[in-house]
Amino acid sequence: MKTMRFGWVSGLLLSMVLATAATATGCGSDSDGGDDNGSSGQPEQKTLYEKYGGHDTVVLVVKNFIGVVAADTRINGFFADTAADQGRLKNLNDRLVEQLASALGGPETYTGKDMASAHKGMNIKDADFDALVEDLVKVLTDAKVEEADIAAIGGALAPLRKDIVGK
Amino acid sequence: MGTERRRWSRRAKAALSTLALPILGVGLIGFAHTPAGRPLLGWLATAAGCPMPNGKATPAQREAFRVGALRQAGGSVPATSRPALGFVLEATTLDDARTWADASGGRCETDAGAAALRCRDVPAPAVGGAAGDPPVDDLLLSFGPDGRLVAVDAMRRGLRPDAASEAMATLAAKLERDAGPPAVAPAAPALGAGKLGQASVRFRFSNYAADLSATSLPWSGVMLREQYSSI
Repeated sequence: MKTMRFGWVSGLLLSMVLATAATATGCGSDSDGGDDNGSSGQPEQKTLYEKYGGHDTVVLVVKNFIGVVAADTRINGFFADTAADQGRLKNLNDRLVEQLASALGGPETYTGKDMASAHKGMNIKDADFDALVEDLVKVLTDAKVEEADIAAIGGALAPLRKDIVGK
Repeated sequence: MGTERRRWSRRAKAALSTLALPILGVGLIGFAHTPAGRPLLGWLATAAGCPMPNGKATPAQREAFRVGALRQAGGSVPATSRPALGFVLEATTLDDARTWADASGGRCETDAGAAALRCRDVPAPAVGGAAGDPPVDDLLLSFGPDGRLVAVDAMRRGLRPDAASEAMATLAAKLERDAGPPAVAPAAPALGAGKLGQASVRFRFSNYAADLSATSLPWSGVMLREQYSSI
């Protein structure tokens, strides 16, 4: 249950970073996304992990994200009992850091459980999903993630929505 | 006679023991939904699968989680006033809110655990807006363990980007006038056109937080959110 409870959070994070990774490395179909790579025809090998400041930035983003979700009365009940236990809260924080860092191209390895069936039985509604996405965008904006990178997330989140909501 | 009395006595004991359990159960459940009994409700939620809103957290756990986060990000001076769409933070009770709901014209229901009142399609005048303003699609009133209002969330969905930006600017100006200056200056990214993006204004005081945001969601247009919280 512990992993299930934050499974949809990490699922969103994973989709987000994969989408942004695709944009930053020039793999996306959005032509705007590749502009930052220069015009020499030699794509930069810089990962998003490096682009946005590495481990310290990831730790800060996750910490801020948990803080924003905590203050969000629409969805904080999904996480409040986890947060009431310092050990479980640290576990949630550490797994999110690992997952986000790993997906951004950092050296960290995700050591949590896989997310298969993570959303089953959670009865997540459209409004819950939208609330979490909104919180995520807030944290990314604060972390100075570029508009183009944030915009690229939308394409990955749209199909994810139907897999999470109402399961 | 003695045999008859014993028989009635046995029947009475049997009837009492049969009734005692349901009576005790009803009493226990009733008590668990009072502010004093909510820790018990939290235990029941864990042990017996009693339905709770948003997972199995108790109102006390949710409130500790919420306040802990807001205190870290809170300001150093108190707000001049604490606007909350006409409700009074740390004073309005669930009963007050239900009375308001009956007259609001919205469709309201209390969450299991009695920690929140959710309303849909609330006409703007019921939350201090003008008659021509769009209705609030979702309104959430959240109550602390003591049964007093701790946060108000209002969401309007499917707005045009320009209408959302204009509404947010109007709300921000009103908040600045009533509560004090914002902690985070408004950002103005391009909203809409199927892109994920957000413009927001945040107000942080030692006893109050307010967040206004317009989030462009690729699947449902722009969502304007107002959140007013006690700290």
